[in-house]
Amino acid sequence: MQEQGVQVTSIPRGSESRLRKGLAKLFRNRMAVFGGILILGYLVTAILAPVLYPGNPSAPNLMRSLERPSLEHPLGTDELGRSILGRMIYGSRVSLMISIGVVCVGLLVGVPLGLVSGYYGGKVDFVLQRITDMLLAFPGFLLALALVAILGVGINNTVISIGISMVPIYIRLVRGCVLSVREQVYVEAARAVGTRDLKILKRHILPNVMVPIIVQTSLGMGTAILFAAGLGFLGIGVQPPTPEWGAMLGSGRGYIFNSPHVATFPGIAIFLAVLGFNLLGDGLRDALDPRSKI
Amino acid sequence: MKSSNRWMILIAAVILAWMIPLGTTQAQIKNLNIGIGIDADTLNPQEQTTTLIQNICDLIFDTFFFVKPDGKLEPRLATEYKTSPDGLTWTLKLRQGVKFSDGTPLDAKAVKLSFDRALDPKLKVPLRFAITMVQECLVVDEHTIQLKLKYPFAPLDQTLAMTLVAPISPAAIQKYGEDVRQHPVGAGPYLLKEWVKGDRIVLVRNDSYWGPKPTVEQLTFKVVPEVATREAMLRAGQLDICYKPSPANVAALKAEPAVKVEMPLSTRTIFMALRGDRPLMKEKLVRQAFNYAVDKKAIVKKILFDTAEPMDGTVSPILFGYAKMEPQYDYNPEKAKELLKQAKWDSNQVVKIGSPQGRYLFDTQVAEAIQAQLQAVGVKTELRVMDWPTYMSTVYKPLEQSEFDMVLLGWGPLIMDADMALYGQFTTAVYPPKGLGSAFYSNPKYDEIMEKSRLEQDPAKRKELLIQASKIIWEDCPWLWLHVEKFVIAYSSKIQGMVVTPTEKFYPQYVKMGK
Amino acid sequence: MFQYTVRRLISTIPVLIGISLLLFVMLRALPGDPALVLAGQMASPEDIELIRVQLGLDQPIHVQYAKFMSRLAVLDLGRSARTQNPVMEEIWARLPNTFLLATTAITLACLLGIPAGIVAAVKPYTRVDYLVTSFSLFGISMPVFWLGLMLVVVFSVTLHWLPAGGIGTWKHVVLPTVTLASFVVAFIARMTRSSMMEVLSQDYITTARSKGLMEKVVIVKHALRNALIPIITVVGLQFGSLLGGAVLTETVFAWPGMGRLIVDSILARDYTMIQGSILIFGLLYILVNLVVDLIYAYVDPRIHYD
Repeated sequence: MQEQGVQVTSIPRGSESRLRKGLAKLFRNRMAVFGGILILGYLVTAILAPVLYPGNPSAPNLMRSLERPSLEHPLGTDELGRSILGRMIYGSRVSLMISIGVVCVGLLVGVPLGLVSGYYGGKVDFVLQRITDMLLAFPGFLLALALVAILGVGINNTVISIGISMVPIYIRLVRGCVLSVREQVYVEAARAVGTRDLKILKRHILPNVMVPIIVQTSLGMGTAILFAAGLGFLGIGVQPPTPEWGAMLGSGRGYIFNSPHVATFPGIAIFLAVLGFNLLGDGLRDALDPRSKI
Repeated sequence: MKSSNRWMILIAAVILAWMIPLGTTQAQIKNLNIGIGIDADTLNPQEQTTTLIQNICDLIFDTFFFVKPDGKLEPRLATEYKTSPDGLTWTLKLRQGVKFSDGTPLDAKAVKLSFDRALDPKLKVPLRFAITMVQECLVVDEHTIQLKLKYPFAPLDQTLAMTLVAPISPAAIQKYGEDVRQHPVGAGPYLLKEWVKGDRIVLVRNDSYWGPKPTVEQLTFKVVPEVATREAMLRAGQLDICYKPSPANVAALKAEPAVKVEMPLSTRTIFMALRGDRPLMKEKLVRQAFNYAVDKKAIVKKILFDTAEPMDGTVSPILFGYAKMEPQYDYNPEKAKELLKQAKWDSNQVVKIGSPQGRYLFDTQVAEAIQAQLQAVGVKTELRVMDWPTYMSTVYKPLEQSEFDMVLLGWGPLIMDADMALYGQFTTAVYPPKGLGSAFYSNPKYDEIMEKSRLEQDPAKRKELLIQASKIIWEDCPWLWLHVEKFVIAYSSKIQGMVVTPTEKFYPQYVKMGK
Repeated sequence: MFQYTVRRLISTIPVLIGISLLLFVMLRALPGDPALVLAGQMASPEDIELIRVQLGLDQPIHVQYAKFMSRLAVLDLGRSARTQNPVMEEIWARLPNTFLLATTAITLACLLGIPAGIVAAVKPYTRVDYLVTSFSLFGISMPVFWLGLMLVVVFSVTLHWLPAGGIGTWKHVVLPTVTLASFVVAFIARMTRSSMMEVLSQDYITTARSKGLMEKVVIVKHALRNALIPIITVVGLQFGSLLGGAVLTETVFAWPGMGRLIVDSILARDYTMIQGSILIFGLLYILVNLVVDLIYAYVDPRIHYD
């Protein structure tokens, strides 16, 4: 009950202190911290990739294909004799780019539409919500798959497709939040004194929507990696020779009985990265927005 | 006493001797489970596009002739043929007393009906090009037909072994119309019992089959799209036969005592078409340099795990008309660099390479290896990979719309004759958009020899012409000659007597089960 | 209630028409010529053209759409371009398989997820809670196809306990069900936990406890009943998306369901098949949502529709 009270009375300034309190709570959450460490490791790997692996991760060396882990190649080599470790290090860049790109598409398209839909209501809202209905009638993965088929394979189209498949989620989320704030006293008051819509949206509404967006974004980064991996597995995601974890796992599965390391390590990498985002997202939600049920 | 004892022993010995073969090999096999990668779209033999489904159709329909594992023909529904001196009339004797599985007699009229349908331009027959030389089919008597040709075509006997011309029961066509594709009725050793879409196709023995009675009562083709799962099911004993396991696991499967692997050379060649209409590929020296720059042996060994052989001629060695060519384009990066220098290759130009994904064995990996090896001799490249439908609509686009300079493709002649490869890929008659000449190659001298070969009736002379034509393109290099695929099939080592043919087909109807 | 149901059903029609229009336009934007794909690599240009005409692809798009809609009006989804079979028939062949797998997976996920969520909510921030949370995160973070392949390697190839793929006996259902459920169970457990935790902090629970009611009674009768609505929502949503076919799981386990059908049709550019299966899927999804709404009213007497 108490938490509900906080939410009702929360005004923009309150949300800042809530953020601070929440972060303190986040750091006490061991699982969230573990998730944060996973993601930090993942970020560092992605940024320092050229330092960590100086060679070219895409240059084949057929004479050394499918070698088991050794000192020279700690995680072995793949079917074209490339170091799996090297490809995984560079793969972290690709996966990170994908997840950031996807979330950006989702945010840039979904948040404004959700704000408009919730704030203005009426016909705009009706039309947008019917379109959202239609898009939500498909499981996200199927939607992403269909979009990739239309746009064509490749990293950019993978990002756009998965991104679009996430847009309706953001629209719904933001619209719901806006609806709950729109009728609040301070918003009514701002409107009454003739504040411009854009300003109201920016100053009063957006801050209140921030928390669920942050949580959804963290979870969405994880989902993006999983979706990209699934598309890569079906062979219609990121294309070779770009090292992407899902595509590595997808092509590695052909060797699963003989050289299981080719598929195993990218599988573990995907699992850990997604786990990291989920742990962090969960922690953020518990800390910042305990009532939400994403 | 003694003599009666001796008698007893003798009788026992006879009984035992009679029983032993029964004990070691089971005469009757109830069911074989066969794992395949795709479900059939249609079981009408005339509508086929894939070898696998044609293989299933063969079991239901039977063909006029049968291609044996050694590549020779065996008479089946037809017993003999005669060719007129001008090569324009083929007379075919049909086997007497054969009935379709629904009891309709297989006579000349039935055969004519099937031929008429295959030639009917209003019906969908994707492989019709293989019989375009046939003008019409005439009924001579109850068991004899005549095929009138538009032009002489020496390998027509091979063509008559194709699933495409397998006779369909006229009664079934009458009853089902075009839906005969769902209700196939033929004269083969099996009939369709059940077809559960996306899951399995079940065939049962046709007891009225004209030939030897199959030892296997039922064949269940299970659709298992994921190759790793298919292999897992074979290892777990859920499948008796696994169609095309992954080459990567062939060695491991071979090492498994419970599994036997066969992989005869197929007719399909894999190549990079070097598009003659593209400015970058115009120069013969460049095309030759590319051939020297790529290590085909390493590709075959390391990427394809020896489930292919490097091409040493223009077609698969098992085809009529094949000859090993000289000189061989053995891996020689230095020579490649030299040739590029001679051709004044500008190393700033970027060669655009296209590859499908999942269409041929490890296609993208092969393309990646080629890309790297070209880069090693100083050729800048860019590789784009597409799914098959997108790729197909891109590959044959004319010069100004095309994005590729070289494309990875495969070409598998349906008959054991080099004509379908040499004529069907390199003559001006198939220059796109008229045909599917992937290299956009046109050479009047070559055309002349190929046209002449089609008119030649004497096999030895025809072979000489095909080799002559091969020499021209081997020198000209419209393709980057890569490899000839092998047809891999793995099955339980209990199975004995499996028939696997060079046309990428397998026939399990007469197998025996050992212990 | 009846009136409400009818009204809801009627309101789905515009959504379905919208989906069909959207699909129609989107599909025509797909690169790759269906006729070319169907004809195969060796077909002649004349045959390809013939197929194009047979599929009606030579006509302008609005004519194609009008034809499609007029057939749809009499519940005819047309014939698959690839198999020439009625689309309805093809879907009917797969739908029961998908339904079976979706049902077993959701049942297993509920049986595991709801009790686990309750236990975690009753004893929050204890070892049990962490265990439940960890397991559910494990399920959400695991790429399903990878999990599926691992299960095949362990239980089929190595131990020979269960078949690796296909349909038929109950044994065939086990591995795909476990694979799918591992993902769904996480959602259900998490939702149960958070929903229960919220209810358990309410005044009337404290009251019930103070009245000396047994803890079991309090949890099951008072708390769970009130926490059920969000749980049902999640179960409904998950069930709905499972009906769309679990593409990756179906691929790994050779399960002939809707997901595989849709993917294969996309890859073969089988327009009529994609249109038909997605429309049917959209309809099913809407129906599941309706059923969920009706269950709300049953569970919570305060909810009235009219």
